[in-house]
Amino acid sequence: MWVQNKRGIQKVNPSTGAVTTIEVPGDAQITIPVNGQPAVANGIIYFCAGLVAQSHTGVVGIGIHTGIAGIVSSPLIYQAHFVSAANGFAWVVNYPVPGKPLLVRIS
Amino acid sequence: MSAFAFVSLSVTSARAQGAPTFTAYSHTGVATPSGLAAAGKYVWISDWGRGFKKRGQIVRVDISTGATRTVSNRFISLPSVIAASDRYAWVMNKTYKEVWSLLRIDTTTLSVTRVKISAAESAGIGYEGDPIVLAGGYVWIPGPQGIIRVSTSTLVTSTIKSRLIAGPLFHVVADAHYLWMNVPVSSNGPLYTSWR
Repeated sequence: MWVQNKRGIQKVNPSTGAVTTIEVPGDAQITIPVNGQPAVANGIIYFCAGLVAQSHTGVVGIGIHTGIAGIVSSPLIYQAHFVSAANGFAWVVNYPVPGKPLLVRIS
Repeated sequence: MSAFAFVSLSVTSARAQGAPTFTAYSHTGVATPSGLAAAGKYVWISDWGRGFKKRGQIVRVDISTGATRTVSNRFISLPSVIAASDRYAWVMNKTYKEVWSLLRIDTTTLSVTRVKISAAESAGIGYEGDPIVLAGGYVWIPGPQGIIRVSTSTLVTSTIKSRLIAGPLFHVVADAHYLWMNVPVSSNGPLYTSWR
């Protein structure tokens, strides 16, 4: 089970109670979740987060097996609001152009 | 003309996995997105519209073709969080008078069925961002003092309460056996714990 809190992303083993903390990029403001739930696709957990230095929201991805986190960067990802996943794809609704929400598939 | 735009970039962090490809699905007709769910052949987007100029709606996007279908119905006013399966999309919806209900949308016919949620069961809860969960033949909806359970087959609604739930639930997730949720452990403090 993965828990999002002030310490980063924490991987919790429900059977043993063991906790592993994964640091996320310092720019990602994960203590203020943007909207909705994280989503999992192709071994990566995606969630929307405020990006402090960039003054907008974006998408952070964490490799489940690698435990490494990074900001998902593309001109199509800007002011991300929601993320979902199915069939190996992640889907993001965001605003790369103000006022024109766009659905983007990450594969 | 294709509705897609393809952009291939690497993740910003050099340590992160892979080099994802980004595909834009334009022209969904959504004005104010308020929820998103992907399942099977479709992605569902709820849309608050533009006030009185454009009513709320729910949009179904075919992930293969990019084709969109709009679900407009008298029950749809301000739709928000979505949980979806291959057969149905389940959408929380509120009226302008803050009355919440759960809408079931048939994936194929797009017919809409409303499941009423009593005011007592949803008091003080905003479902714009908080999740609902589809698991074990039920839709699970966090409530102010417990979790609301809606049967996906009979649409019968019940509320599960526990002394461990002392206030509004935060996040809820499910695995194959259990529902996991963050609950306040003290009504006076911001401490939360996971409970199954």
